[in-house]
Amino acid sequence: MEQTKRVLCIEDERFIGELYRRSLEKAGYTVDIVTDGQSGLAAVLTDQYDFVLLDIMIPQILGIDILHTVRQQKPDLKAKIVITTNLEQGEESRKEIEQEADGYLIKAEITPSELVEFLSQL
Amino acid sequence: MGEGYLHSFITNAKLRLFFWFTFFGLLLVATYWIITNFITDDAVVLAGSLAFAALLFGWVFAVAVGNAITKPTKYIAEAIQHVAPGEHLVEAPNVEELTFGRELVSILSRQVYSYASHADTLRNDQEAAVPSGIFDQLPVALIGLDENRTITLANNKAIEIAQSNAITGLPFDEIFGCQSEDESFADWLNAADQNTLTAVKTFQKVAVSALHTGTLLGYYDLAVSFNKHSATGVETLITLYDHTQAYEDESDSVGFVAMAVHELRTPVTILRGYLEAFSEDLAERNDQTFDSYISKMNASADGLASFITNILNVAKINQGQLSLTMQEGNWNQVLPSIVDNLRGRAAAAGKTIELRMENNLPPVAIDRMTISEVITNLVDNSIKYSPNNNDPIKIVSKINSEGWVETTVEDHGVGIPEGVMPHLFSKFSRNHRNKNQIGGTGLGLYLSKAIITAHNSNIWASSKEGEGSTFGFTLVPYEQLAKDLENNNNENIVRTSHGWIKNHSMQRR
Repeated sequence: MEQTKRVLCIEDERFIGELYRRSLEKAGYTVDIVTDGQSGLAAVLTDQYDFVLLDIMIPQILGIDILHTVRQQKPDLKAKIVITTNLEQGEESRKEIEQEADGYLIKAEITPSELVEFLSQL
Repeated sequence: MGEGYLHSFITNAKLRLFFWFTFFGLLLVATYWIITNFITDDAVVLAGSLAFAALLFGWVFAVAVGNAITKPTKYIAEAIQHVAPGEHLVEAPNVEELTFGRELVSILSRQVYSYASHADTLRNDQEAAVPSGIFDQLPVALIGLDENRTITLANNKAIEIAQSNAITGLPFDEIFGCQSEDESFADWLNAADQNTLTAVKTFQKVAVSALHTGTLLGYYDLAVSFNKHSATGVETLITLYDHTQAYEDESDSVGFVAMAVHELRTPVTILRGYLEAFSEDLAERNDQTFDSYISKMNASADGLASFITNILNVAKINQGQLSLTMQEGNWNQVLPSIVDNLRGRAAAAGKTIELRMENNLPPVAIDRMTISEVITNLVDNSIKYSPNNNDPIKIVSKINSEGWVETTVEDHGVGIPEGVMPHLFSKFSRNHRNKNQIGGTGLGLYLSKAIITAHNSNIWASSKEGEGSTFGFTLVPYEQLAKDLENNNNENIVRTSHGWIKNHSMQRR
């Protein structure tokens, strides 16, 4: 039997985290939520997830710095990292994200079920 | 050779005189021969010969006298031409050659030369009235170029910003790099050089860099004056106003809008998420009233999300920061998926969308995120401006005569008054006749035009008041842009309408 896929959601907005957990669990994923950058970075580096949903504007360490650190410290990370943010990037940050992340979503423009659909395409 | 003889004949008066005497002598002999051979009466012969001789000598005398009288005038004219500004086409007249009127011509010629030298003094005085040092005190950079665009004039400020000691005598294009958002400075100068004698233009927010050091000097406004036949030898005069600080402040305003948009999007995200949760949980109850409420709330939340994105994009366009990632898109798949997302919004307003597409349209070059905003804006307008009409909104996509993919959105709503049409795609342009009845910001079409223009394509509108409107735009087939994308390191990233995915199945192979 296929193992359930694990998703790490690094998201400081509690309601958004809850909504994503609800839809992802309904679709059969196991979901862990962390709400700050430091715990988020530590959790990603354990390398026990299939997907990481990474918000950018989070406390302690910004999502973009987590992405950068993870790619440097763990180039063979198993998880696919999807930036989930409501912050539009400037040209330079966008290029940096495009090189390092596996996907990018504007949260306000998708519903939780569209997020599930998005992950299934990755 | 022949030309040489002809020239010496025309210019040599003695030769000319010899020719005419020989010619008329021969004519005289021939006339005498004709008269003596065909006319027998001696008296008539004598009278005829005398009359002809008188005529001949009369003509020679008239030419000689005429020359003598007009020659002084010719010499004075040569003196005036000689002192005229510009290239000297004639040499100074030699009055010693004159037989008649030498004294008069000498006096008048001396007078001409005297006036000319006085005029030169005046001109030099006027130039001296603006000492060159005054340019150096100007707080703006001033650069003059000759017809080869070599720098012939540079004040202290220009030398300072060029970060070089001596720029005079060097080509402008090798010293300064000028990048403007609209028409390029170099293109404008080339066009002016080819088409006009004088032209003036200001360029705003030009990124000026010092090419030999490769540093960006800042953002300048350029006032450029072009004068092809300038008497001063300066064909182009450029004034550079440093507005770096002001433009940087404006640029920060995009950052502020981005942060404001971030804060606005968070509640919208939550709202849309819980609406979806509601609709899933209530679906089992099969309650049409609830479904209708949820669909209206969904439509409103979608509209709000689009509007927030519009605000940010308008701020980006204003600051020239809207950038697109052009990718290959299968329009037969992309357009239906965008339209499907809009059906709920149309249904909430009691409308339907009818989509008709030609099969197998060529792949188009698009930025999926922004092209989705264009269609959303056009459909939103169709919904808003046909409040009392339930005809379907017709979206048609086909290939046009130029091989481009053309998409139109047609409604049978209130239409657009003729007077509004020329300003339709301007910022904050709204139909004043119904702006109290129909909501909107007047940003949608402005944004759509900017996005379509950035796609290197066209957008247009046709309308009849009271009958409805049709908006259309074209998209460039991907093949036309494929070469430009060959070296693009973003090629393996495909934008979706809400984000992008690496190595998606739609990626060009």
